[in-house]
Amino acid sequence: MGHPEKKKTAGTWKTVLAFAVTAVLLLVFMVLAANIGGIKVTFVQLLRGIFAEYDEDVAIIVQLRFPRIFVAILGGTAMAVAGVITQAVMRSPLADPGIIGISAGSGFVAVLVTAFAPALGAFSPLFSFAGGILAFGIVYALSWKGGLSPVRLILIGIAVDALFTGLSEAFNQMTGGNYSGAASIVESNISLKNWDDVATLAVYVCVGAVGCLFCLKKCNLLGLSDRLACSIGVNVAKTRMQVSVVAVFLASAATAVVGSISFLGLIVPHIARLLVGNDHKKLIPYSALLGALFFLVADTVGRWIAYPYEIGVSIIMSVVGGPLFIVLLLRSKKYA
Amino acid sequence: MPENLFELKNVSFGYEKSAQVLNGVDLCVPKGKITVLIGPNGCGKTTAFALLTKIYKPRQGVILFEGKDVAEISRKEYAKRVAAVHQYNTVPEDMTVRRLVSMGRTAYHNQMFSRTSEEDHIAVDRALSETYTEEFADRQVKELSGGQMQRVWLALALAQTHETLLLDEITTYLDVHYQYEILNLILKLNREYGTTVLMVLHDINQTIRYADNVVMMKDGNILSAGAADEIVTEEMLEKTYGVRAHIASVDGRKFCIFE
Repeated sequence: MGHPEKKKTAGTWKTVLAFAVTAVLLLVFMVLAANIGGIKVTFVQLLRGIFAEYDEDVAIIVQLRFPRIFVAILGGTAMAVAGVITQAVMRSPLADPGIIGISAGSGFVAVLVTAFAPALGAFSPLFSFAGGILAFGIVYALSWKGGLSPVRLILIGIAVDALFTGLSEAFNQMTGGNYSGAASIVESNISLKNWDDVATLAVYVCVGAVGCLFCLKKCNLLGLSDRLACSIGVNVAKTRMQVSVVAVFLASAATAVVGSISFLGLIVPHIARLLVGNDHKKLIPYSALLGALFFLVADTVGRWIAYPYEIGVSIIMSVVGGPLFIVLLLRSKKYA
Repeated sequence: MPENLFELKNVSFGYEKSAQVLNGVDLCVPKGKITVLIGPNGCGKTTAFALLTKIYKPRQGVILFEGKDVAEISRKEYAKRVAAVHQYNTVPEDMTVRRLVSMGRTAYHNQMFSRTSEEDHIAVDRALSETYTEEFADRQVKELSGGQMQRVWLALALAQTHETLLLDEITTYLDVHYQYEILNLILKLNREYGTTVLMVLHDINQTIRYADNVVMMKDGNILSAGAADEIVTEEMLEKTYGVRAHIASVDGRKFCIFE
């Protein structure tokens, strides 16, 4: 009879190992990312420069490279978690806010706000949240007919995504790319981020994280079929709405600062499910960590591969994510 | 005359406005009895079932639970007294049986944070042991056979409550062994705890054997309702299903043969 016990322990170990390895890799890449460019420092020098005594090289790195690293970490976390939650709400592993138009909707509003009311700065995620809700509402309403057809979801999502991405780009070109802040959102360029951006994003991600705590159990309940959830006493429609708001909030916050990133919210949760399973109490925290790692790795690779030129993180994500998306489509019998 | 737990009064329902699935149904489900709902495919059994589980609201008419309109009872309060097993269910396949069964306790918690109470453990353990599922309680759902899975769904419902069970074609897709095992289990629960059972069945012989009360439906209406002896007759079977049947008895037990 000892068999099930042993299995349970093995599962727990796998989870602990996944968390530990990912966390270590994240640290390693933070140091690596800090070292790409003209100035190089060792890990010890870096620690000493930050915590003990002033070091000119370290000060430059902290001013110029650290904000970018933290923006990548926070943005990756937000997008990955938004992905997990959207997938729970839509009950489809292919729902990614970056693909089905939520990011594009919030990005468009962020572009407008950054161009016309740059003074709003730290509040722009709130406006982009409205854009995200709008896009989400359109996709949800059009693809939900009694239940959700994954094919409809993807098709309508892609159309909505194309619309808002097009609008953002049209605006950018109409204005000759003069609004550099807006252009950086359109192009998802994070090379010029500063500590203010980090602070803004951190605040919204923390609020989103609190929202997530309220969602863990609800996401698990949404994993059951509607009829079943209904008869065990869950108000499915209400739960779905509450959880969606958190997902859209996180995706919009990330988009307002980082720009629209596709595929991150799709691939990270998928890998996370393979490693820690479908229980959202583990899946959400782990996706947060893995999302941070993924985004940072993508950004670091983009900076390093053609140095001194840079490839944008969204381009890296698309080049890697596109083929992976097709693999996922072909692998899942249900959705192909 | 037993008290009625559920009463449907002039209930009409259609998934789309043009097509009515139920046309002014009046139906009583007596408390503490096993009521079986039978009728040909598309007669509205599953729709009536869905209305009783509060998945849909009737377009017309009212559904009473202990004399109270179910629309006025919160989903949570309702779930503490009425449990259901649906025909098709999906669930993350890496979930363990024990965790799935403990989902039946959802109505006793708030949806954000709350700890598993001693009561939850007792209710889940009891449900597992009553359905003989405890031996694979720590296995994942994807490792189970159809028969095992059906017992797990019943365990989930029992973790929720022993008061009322609504079961939609719980024996379909099971082999004979599991069919009778699960029906005997339901009979035992009914006799021991006075559980009110409403189940949709397809098998006439199972209906004759297990039902205290039979409701026969056709074309969105109730044709007749009452004790199995009175309802399941050669005449009624021909009228409802359009088949000629012969009802015989062996050792005092009735059974039905189709020609």
